[in-house]
Amino acid sequence: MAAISQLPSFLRFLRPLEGNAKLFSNAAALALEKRVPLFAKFNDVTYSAPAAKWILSIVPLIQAFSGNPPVEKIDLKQSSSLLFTGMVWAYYATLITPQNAGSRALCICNMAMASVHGYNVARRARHDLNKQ
Amino acid sequence: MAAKSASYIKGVGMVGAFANWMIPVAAFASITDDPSRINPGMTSALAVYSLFFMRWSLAISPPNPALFACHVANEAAQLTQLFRYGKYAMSDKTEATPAAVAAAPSEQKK
Repeated sequence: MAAISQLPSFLRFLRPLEGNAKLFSNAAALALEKRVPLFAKFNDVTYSAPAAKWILSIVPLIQAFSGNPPVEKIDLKQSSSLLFTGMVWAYYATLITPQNAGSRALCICNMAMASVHGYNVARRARHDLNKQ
Repeated sequence: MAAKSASYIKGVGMVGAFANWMIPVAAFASITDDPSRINPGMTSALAVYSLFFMRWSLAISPPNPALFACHVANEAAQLTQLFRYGKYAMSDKTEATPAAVAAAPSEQKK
């Protein structure tokens, strides 16, 4: 399944990482995986990367509720770029291999990201239009 | 869902990487803006997210080197923005802010 040597030759130093989902594969980490099941989940990047992507929806949600930064200081470039990547990636997550709980989480978290940043873009645009 | 061909998945992967390039491009486009407009929460969130997805882009199958390059650029962009904000936050803001708000290019357009 691991697609070895699909990378271009100038990236050959990255080939050990190709198709390898383990963040840490030294003996200590593998021993810790057996004892702590939660660390085993974290150590598999196909689970921990989608989990880490949730911060891109949670941080703007907290900021929208707390009102800091205020609506006129919302970064329109950043928010709209995250809105578009969220839409494309929700579909891409359904195509990649492995299809597991991590890829489903990636699809859901991209939908959440697109909606939160879409809301941010919308309220900044509404604020700008009302000011004119 | 019906199984898609590998070349189709690679094509969508390229579209995904291209869409992701908008994040570092947006950060580089606002690199001359006043540092008081930087959102430190979102910038550090993006920096952490990029570290994970640099690794993820190679672990999946088929691997996505275009996405890897994008996340290297994004990490550089977000860390630059975070460094600029840190320099601004640690400096004496009292004299910087009024002049900076008056001179901010995105404020003048409206």
